[in-house]
Amino acid sequence: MTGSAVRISKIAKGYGASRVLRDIDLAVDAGEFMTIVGPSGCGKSTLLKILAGLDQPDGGSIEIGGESVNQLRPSQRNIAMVFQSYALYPHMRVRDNLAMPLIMADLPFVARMPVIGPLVPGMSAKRRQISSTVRDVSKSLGIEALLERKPSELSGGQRQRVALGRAMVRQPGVFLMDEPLSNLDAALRTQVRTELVQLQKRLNATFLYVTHDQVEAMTMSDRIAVMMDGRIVQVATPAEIYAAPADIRVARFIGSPPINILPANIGEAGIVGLLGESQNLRTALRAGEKAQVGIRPADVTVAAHTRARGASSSHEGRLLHTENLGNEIILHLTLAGDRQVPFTARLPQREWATIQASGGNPNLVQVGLPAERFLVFNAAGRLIPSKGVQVSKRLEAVS
Amino acid sequence: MTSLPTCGTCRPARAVPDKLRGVNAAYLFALPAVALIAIVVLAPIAVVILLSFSNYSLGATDWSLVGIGNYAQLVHDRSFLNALSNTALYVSVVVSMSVLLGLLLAILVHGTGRLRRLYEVIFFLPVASTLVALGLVWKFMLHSRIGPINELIAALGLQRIDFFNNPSIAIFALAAIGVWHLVGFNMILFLAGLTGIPRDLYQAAAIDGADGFWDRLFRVTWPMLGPTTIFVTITSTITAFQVFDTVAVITHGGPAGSTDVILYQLYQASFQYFETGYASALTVVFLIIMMAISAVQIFAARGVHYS
Repeated sequence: MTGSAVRISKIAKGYGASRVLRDIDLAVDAGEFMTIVGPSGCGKSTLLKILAGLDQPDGGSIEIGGESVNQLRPSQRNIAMVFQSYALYPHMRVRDNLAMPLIMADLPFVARMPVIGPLVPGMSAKRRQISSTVRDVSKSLGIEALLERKPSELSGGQRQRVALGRAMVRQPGVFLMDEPLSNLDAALRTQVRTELVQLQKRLNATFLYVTHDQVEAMTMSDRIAVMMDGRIVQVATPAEIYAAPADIRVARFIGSPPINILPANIGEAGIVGLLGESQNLRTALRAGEKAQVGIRPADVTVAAHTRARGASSSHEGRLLHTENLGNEIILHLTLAGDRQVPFTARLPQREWATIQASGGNPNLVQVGLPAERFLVFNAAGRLIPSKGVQVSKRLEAVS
Repeated sequence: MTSLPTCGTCRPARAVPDKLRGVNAAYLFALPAVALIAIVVLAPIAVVILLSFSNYSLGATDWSLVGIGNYAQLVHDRSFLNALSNTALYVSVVVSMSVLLGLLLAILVHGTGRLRRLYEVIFFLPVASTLVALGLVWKFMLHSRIGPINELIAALGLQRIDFFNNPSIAIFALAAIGVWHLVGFNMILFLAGLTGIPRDLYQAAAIDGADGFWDRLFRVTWPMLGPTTIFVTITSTITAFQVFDTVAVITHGGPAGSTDVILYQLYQASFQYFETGYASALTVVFLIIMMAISAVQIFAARGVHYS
């Protein structure tokens, strides 16, 4: 089976006065793992429900597999959905939960009715077919031992698998997933993340995956669509989103710990001024414009207080506290020149041990900010292309 | 760690006086409630059970125990057996109709938007009103000559139905009033049950293809209302077994004993013939039936709770 392509154009939705979705355009390729990520309330779940046909858009069109599905009922759209709550039928055994989509699709109305249903003749071949499909799917998910249980007798991870199985039995063109991992504990979440990606590759299915967790988005997706305030702000691969976030909100949302944002000034010839010093960086912005500079904590270099190395500018950093991640360490600092802005740096544990061993004031470090890694955003929060240059003289204060 | 300031003179107050030491204080706290239940609930039941083995008659000065005499009399009493079968018929009609109609109304009302509150009030009105008074209203409504319902039947060119004087119809007429009285209550309970069904389930059902009215009803709504249905059925059964008001006001057990029910028998034996011993035996039988129904609820409920 292969997945279907999805094309969403100009989808809008509002409840009363509030606009939840504004002119959403999104194209998902067949067999792609597309993640829609955004903070809660950004409209991503509403978009998924509209795709599924559970909610009606105010305007716009949806194509699945090249066919317009606007007028189709959810069950006719060749989709399956995994809910955040899993939405398993609590009164049915796992077997019946898995069989439900097939029963509805393959058996006629009379055969589905209670009491008289089993008496309808000529259905045994179809019923056999259904139960063999259920067996195959449950085997591929490793839940065949659970078939006779009720959902209440399953653990969170097992329920998640059953929900996945119920989505798989019909071999849909598109899987819609609404935060399917958010009810799992941290360890299980990491494991299921890997399994989901492998499953998607094996099925060669199209996945549309909604989450508020940027780690899930970064680790699982072929491409990410970042949604903010009812709009899609950027659609790109995880690497692009991380390296060149189109919008400062995207930059803030993606990456852990979050990106450092420092206020900046633009000097003559578009040279960026930061923390009272001009940097080896030129932008297309005009002199005097307001700007903000983003620096990923991992791009920051840290040295013992006595000397700075390899950075275009070096600043004294005062240590507030440290977070030890085992192989890495996160420093929470304030920088000389602007003590108000919190600043984080991330470096390998071994490097940090060397710095600590070098003696000196344990609460001070030398922080290097490599200008070539700066992300410059204009006053509207858009990413502005910038180019490394050599600035000979240091400006005293670019205020 | 620094030492806490200590106080030589003040000692913590004793929770229990010395002489009560050794007695678990929890029992003392439970005593008032236990005493109240014993006096108000258990003692009267014990007295009734005792009286059921006696020939006591209300106000009599001498009486004696007669063993199982009253019960032996019950088993052979044609009017009791008649009342028992009438009650069973009444209960089966009222319970099945009021549960099904209550569910249907709840589903319909649940689907309405703004008018939902209005419908809830309208259907609940009979529950909140006095059945004795409304029994009189129904007696008039269904009257064979002056009742508006029979006027309507006559106007349609059909033969008038003598609801309360026809022995084969009277019990069903009473059952209809019983259903009318009970259905609003059941509807409210089902509405509460419907509100408790997660919306996710209907969405999942829609994606799975179960979005038609009957598929939703049989695959999601009805099974999810299992616990509510058990509860509603049991409470309806208990209420229906206690039918008395309409019988006392409208038919007095007639015609020809066709609407004689257990509680009416009990009432007559106790307060018209003053056969307290016999009435007590009736009460005990009634109590056993009620307890059996409650036991069914407890066991049945185990099978339908999902979480």
